[in-house]
Amino acid sequence: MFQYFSDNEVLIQQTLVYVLLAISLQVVLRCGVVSLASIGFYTLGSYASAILVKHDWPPVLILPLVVLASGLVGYGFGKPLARLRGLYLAMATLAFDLVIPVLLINGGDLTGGALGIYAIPLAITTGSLFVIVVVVILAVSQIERGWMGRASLALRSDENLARSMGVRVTRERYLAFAISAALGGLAGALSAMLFRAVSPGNGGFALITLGLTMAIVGGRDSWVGAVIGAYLVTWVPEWLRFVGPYRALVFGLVLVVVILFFPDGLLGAVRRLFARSRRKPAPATRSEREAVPV
Amino acid sequence: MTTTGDPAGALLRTDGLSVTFGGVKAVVDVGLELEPGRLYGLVGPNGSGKTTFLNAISRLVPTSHGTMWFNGQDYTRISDTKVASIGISRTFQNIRLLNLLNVEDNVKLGADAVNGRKRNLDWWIGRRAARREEAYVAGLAAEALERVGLTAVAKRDPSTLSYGMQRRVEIARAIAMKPRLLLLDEPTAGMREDERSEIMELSQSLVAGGMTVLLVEHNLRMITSICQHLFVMYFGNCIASGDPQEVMRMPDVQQAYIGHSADVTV
Repeated sequence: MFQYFSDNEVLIQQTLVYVLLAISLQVVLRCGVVSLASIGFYTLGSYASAILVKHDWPPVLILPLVVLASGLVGYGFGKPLARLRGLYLAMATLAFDLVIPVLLINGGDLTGGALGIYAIPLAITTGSLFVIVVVVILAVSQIERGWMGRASLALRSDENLARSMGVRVTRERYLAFAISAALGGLAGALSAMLFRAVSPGNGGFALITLGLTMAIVGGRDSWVGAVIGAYLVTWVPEWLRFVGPYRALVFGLVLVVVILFFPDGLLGAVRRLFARSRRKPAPATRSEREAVPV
Repeated sequence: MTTTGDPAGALLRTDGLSVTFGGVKAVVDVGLELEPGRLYGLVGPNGSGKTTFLNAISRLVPTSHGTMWFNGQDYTRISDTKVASIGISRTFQNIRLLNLLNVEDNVKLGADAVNGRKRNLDWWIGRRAARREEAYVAGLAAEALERVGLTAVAKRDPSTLSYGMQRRVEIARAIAMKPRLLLLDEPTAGMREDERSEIMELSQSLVAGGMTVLLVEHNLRMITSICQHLFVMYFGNCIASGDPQEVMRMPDVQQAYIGHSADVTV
């Protein structure tokens, strides 16, 4: 067990960081808010963490600070973006994500320019990372259940219906922005502390694609989907090493097959399978009952 | 048409209510009063502004002129998300159930409005508090589902139910909000005769329980037989109001429906 853990520690760490990143996207997508801003906050969080760790700040201070700052800025983001929906919102947040690496490249000594920041002291253990991920999952699961879960699904499916049911649509959207940004920032901060290097190339379009893949292929309706997605994108390429140079091609095909056949993600497929096995015929209406001769 | 009177005496009162979309006047100077515990009908040819009027009084579309009072309070400028909390709930012309949720959870979405959707510290960290609130909401949903006779399908996916049953789930969701005024927008559209009767009986039983119901319908025979008061809209105007049988005999109403006056018995 210990041998397995030490052999695969980096992959386990990567999976845990990706779980947070996937959840950060899922929180907004679940509400029908197509915001990709958490990727930008991931990049910002990783740089903030790298700089502060290098200045000997303790992780117990850095992490809450990054989460709080990202959350507040994310909440502020909600205001100008409140009127945007769907692809327009995605484009606006995509622009934010793509501008950040450019700013970092031109950030001089503070951000390390195009090379980024290296030799960051190791500031967190896998155990601590695991505890943080569990705490986040517990909090997110609370959002997914009860009235907040129902309200977010109503927001995604039918905003007018949500309004008529008394769901404070604007406030819920702002909150989704804030939580998503906070989780993106947290994932970035942990990534810098664990992998000890950050560069402008860590963020940007590649990470957006990866994050969306995790959130959508796993299933965007629950944190479980984020865990499945993170596991899939981290481990399946490793299992496919035996196909050599065709690894990326085969992995791409696997993703295409999953998206084509399971549009609501792997979690949705599992749920539908369970629902089908439980389904019973609906009882007749009164008139149908009366029509049946006794 | 504008009705005047003491706003505090009626459950809902609109005064000079108008809705315009660009140059189109969808609702024009409509004034009406709904008293508590009565069943009202709202009829009119297609495009006469019935649904827009319902959207206006549930604040889903902005009004261009006029005032609305509910229970004596002016609510013309309140947020659409607060309408549920003052005691107005509604169904929609097209079925708008969430297929991502089962029947019970769809109804709970309405019941959540009664519970106030609290998000205090206790809710975030106290699983017991969250469970207690969920149990309360589940109780309201169960009560509403029982009222519409759908307890047996509570755990089902709404898309697997018949059209009539889906309509009843919508009504259950609306009554789970414990409204004082229920707005039903063509609840029997596309239904069989027997299913229509079930919905009408349900409307009457809700009124018997003290609720006020405003029913938009196209089936004149049915609506005139069960409603205590009828409003007729035509080109955005409320052209008649009163006893259903008498209203249907009015020349203006006959003109609006069949193009000329006739000896119509409905």
